[in-house]
Amino acid sequence: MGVFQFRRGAALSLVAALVAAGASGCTAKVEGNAKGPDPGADDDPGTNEPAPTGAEKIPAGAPGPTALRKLTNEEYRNSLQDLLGLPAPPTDALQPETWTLGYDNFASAGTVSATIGGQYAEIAARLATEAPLATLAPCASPAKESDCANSFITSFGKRAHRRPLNAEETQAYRRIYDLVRKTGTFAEGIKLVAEVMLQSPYFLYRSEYGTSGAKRTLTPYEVASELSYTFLGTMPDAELMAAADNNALATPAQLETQARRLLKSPRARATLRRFVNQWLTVNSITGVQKNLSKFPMFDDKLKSAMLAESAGVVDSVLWEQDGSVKTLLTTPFSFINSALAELYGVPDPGKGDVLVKTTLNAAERSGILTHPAVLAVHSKQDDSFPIARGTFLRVRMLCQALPPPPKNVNLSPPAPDPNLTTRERFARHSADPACAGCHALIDPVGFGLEGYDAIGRFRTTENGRPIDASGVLTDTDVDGPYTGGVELARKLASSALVRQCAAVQAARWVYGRAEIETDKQLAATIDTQLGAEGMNIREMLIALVKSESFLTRTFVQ
Amino acid sequence: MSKALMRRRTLIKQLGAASFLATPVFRAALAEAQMAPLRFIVVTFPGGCREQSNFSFGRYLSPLTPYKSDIILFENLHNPCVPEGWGHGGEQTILTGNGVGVSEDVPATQFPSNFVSVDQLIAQAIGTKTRFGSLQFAVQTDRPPKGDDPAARSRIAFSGGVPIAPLQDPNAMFTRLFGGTKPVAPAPTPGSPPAPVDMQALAKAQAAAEQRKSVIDLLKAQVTTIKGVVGTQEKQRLDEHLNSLRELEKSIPAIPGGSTLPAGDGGPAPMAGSGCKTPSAFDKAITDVPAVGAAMNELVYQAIACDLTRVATLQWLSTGTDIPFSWVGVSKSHHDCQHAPDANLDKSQTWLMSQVAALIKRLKDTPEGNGSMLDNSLVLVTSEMGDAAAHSTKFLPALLAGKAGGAVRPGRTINAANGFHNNLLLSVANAMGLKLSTIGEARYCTGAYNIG
Repeated sequence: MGVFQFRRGAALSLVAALVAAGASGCTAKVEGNAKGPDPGADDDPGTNEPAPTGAEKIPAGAPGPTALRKLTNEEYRNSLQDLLGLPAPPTDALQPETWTLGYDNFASAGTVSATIGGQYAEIAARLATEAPLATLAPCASPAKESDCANSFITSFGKRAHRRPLNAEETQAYRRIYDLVRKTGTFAEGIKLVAEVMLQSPYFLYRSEYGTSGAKRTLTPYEVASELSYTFLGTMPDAELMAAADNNALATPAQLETQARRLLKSPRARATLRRFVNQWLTVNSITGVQKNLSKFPMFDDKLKSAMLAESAGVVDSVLWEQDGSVKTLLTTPFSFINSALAELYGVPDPGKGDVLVKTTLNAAERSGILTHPAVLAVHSKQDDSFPIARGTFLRVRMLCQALPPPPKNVNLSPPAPDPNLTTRERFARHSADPACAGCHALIDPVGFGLEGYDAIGRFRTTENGRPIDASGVLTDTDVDGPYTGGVELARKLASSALVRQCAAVQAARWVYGRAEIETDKQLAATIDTQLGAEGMNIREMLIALVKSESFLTRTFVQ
Repeated sequence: MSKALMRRRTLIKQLGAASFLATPVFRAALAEAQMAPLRFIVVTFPGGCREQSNFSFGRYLSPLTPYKSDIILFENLHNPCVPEGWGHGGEQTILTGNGVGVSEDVPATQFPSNFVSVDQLIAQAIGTKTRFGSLQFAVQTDRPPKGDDPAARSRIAFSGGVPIAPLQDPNAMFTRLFGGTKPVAPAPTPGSPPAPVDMQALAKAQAAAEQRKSVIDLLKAQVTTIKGVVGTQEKQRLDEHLNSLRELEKSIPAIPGGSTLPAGDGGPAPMAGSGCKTPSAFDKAITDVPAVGAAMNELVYQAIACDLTRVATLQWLSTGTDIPFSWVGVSKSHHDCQHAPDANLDKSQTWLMSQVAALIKRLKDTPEGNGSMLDNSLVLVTSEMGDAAAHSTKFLPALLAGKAGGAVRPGRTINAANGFHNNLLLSVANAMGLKLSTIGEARYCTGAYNIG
C-alpha cells in the first residue's frame, strides 16, 4: 500500500489521480513497496470496476488471518466487572497497550509479557479474595459442597472462558479445588479456582481460530465474543451465550439481529465513541501541551472540556442525529461550557463547567474536524501546523499513507517570524523541488485549516497579516479549490473516498488488524449500499459484522 | 493526590511492601551478590545530538564529567539498520541491531523470532537468578497517537520477536517491585534470636506454596495447549506468555520440607552497603517528567541494589516527543528543538545527561567489594538518532559506563570511524559474558570494539 490505498474497487477517478501522482515526485513508496498490490494491477481496467450494487457479501477473496486477541485494558476491566459484579479495578497502572495504526486493540500487539502477567496475577488474587462467596458459588448446605464446587467450575468457568469447558478443563480446575480442600475450606478452594480463571489465557485472549481447515468459520462462542467486544467492549451477555449455545450466530441475519440488539445497550455508546475517538485522534488531546505563556487558558480543565465536547458531538451524531460520517463532518451542533465559550468567542452558556448543547457559527465551524480537540492535537506548541493537519487528513480521513521526507533534506521547520503568517513561513515546501512532490499532497489540505490557531481558536489574522485559508484538494474524488475549514469539511463530507476510508478504519478496529485487500473491497461495497445517506456509522459496523470477514478466517501457519 | 493514586497507595500498603524479598530466589541471589553479580543497564534518550561534537564532556556530557574515568565515549558511530531519513523508526533498532520493517508504510508490530534485543540476550544469561529476569522502565514513552504511528516503533526491548512494553507509572513499577506477592512475616531484626517455629504456620505456608505452584502449572498447560493450535506469530507471543508465567513462578516461596526453618529464613539477610531499601511511593503527576524520571532512576537503582534484577532498561521519552523541557526553561517542543537545533536542544539534552549522571552517581556511591556497584555494572547510554534534524542515524551518541566486573576498561574515547552500532552491541554482549560472534543484522556487525 503506497500513497494511494484505494487502487482497486474504488471510483475510477482515483486511477487518474494515481497517474497524476506518478509525476508528482511522491512516488518512491508507490513503486518500491513490496506490500502493494501486484505490479501492473493499476493499469488493468478490469480490476477497477466498482463492486456490484447491493452485493450482500464481500467479493471473493481471502478472509482475514486467524488471530488471538488479548483483551485491551478497557476490555479486561469491563470483563472483570461483569464477570464478578464488582466495581471495576483501575486500569491506569496496567502496562499500556502497544497502539498500532492508532488503535489499542490490534491482535498483533497484544502480548502477556512478564510485566502485565504479574499485574494480571496480582489483580486475580485480589479480586478472587474480595468477591463475595455467595456471588461466586452459592451453596445451600455443607453436605453439598463438592457438587457446588463442580457447578461453580462449570458455570463460572463458562462465563470466564466465554465458552463451555471441556471435560479435561473441568477436571483440571477440580484438581485445584481438591488440592486446596486437603487443608483448606470450601471458600478457599473456590477462590483459588476463580483466581486461576481470572488469569487464564482463555479469559485474557479472545480466540478467532474456528476449529480446523485452511479456511475456517469461527465457533458460535468466538462469534458471541467478537460481537460483544465489538459493540460493548465486554464479555458476552447471557442472551449472546444462549444464542451461541443454540448455534444461532451463523447467518448474516442472525448476526444483524444481535448487533442491533447490542447497539441498543447504553454501553454501545461508550464503545462506538471509543472507536471514533481513536480513528480521529480525539482522545489524544489529553496528552497535548502548549506554550502556556502564549495560551495561558490551555489547562487540564480546558483539555477535558475539549474532549468532552467532541465526545458529546460523536454521541449526538451517532445516537440523536442520522449517525452518518457526513453529519459528523458537517453538524453545526456542539457542546460548550464557559471555558469553551471563551475559546469560541461566544456568550457563556452560564452553567460553569457543564457543557450545554449549542449551535456554532456556521461560517467558522463544521463538524468534528473543526473541533478545538482535533485542531489542537495537530498543531505545534505555539502555532498551527499545516503539515501535521494535512498529513492527518490524508492518513486518517482519506486512508492515504505518506512516506517520510526524503533523505538529505533540511527538516528544520521554518523559524518563528513575527512578521509572517504560519503559511508564509511554510511556503518553502512548494519552492524546494525535493519537498514539493509530497507536500503538494499535504500542504494544500492543511493550509485550509489555517483559520484556526494552535488551540483551535478561529482567526482571520496572524501577526497582523490576513489569514489565507485557501487550499486545493488533489488526488481525491472531490478535487478542487476551496477556502477554509468549513468548506474543506463539506467537501470531505461528500467524498466517497472519505466514506470508504471510514469503513476501512472501522474494519481495522473491528477486526483488530491492518486492512487487507478484501477489506478495501468490502468498504467499497458498503459505500455502494450506504453511501447515499452519507455512511451511517452504526449501519457500517453492522455491514462489517454481516460480512464474511467477521465470520471466517484463513488459518495462518 | 488523585483517587487512583490513593487507591494505589492503599493497595501497596495492603500488599505489604518488600514481601517477596523473603523468597529463596532472592536469598540465593543475595548470597551470590557477595561475589558481586554483573548488571546491565540501558538508558536511552530521544533526539540524539545537535552535532557530533556536542556529545562530549565539555558539552552535553558536562553533568557526567565527574565520572569521565568510568566512561568509554564512542565517537563517529553509525546505526545503518535505519535507512537514512527514517530516524523516527530507530528505537526498535537501538538494542536489536535489526531494521526489519523500519521503512514499511505499516511497520510491523511483530518481528521474526530472532528479533531480540541485547538486554534480553543478556537477561537470558544472567537474569535467571533474580526475581525479575529483566525490567523495563520508562518516562512518558507512550503518548496518545496522532495518526497511524505504531507504538511498537517506540519499543526498545524485544524478546523472540515480541516487543516488551515498559512501565511508565512509578507506582505501577513500585507495586511490581515491592508489593507483588502475598504478605509474609516481617524479617527478624538482625542479631535477635530466631523466633520459635510455628509448625501450623509452616504447614500452611507449605500448602500455599504447593497451591501456587499448581496454579502456575495449570496456566502453563493452558497456554501450551493453545500454542499447539495457533500459527507461528501467535506461538511467538505465547512463548512470551510462558516466560511471564515462569517469572511468576520465581515468586513462590520454597518452604523447606523439614520441621525446622533454617536460621535467618523469613527475610533477606542485610547486604552490607547495598543501599537496598524500599523507596517511598510516588505522589506526583504521571506527566511530571522530572519527578517521574527521578522516581524511575531510584527504582532502577533499588531494583539493582536489592538484586531484584540484574538487567534494566530505562527509556526516556520517545522519538519525536512533543514535550517541551519547560523545567529547564525550554518552551519549544522537544521535537521542534531537534529540528531547529539551538541552545534549547542543548539545554534539553544536557538535562537528560544530568539524569543519567544521577543514576551513575547512585551506582558509583554504593560500595561493593573493593570497588563500587558501578564497577560491577555496565551502563549503555544511547539514542535512536544522531543528527535528529535530518532524521539521520550517523554520529550516533553512545557511551558505556562501568567496568562490567573488569571486562571493560573505561576512561577513554573510542573513535568508531563511521563503524556500526551493532559492533557496539556485540562488544556489550561479550563484556557481559556472552560468547557471540554477531548480533542483529549480520551485515551490519563486523566485529566487536576493543573495550576491555
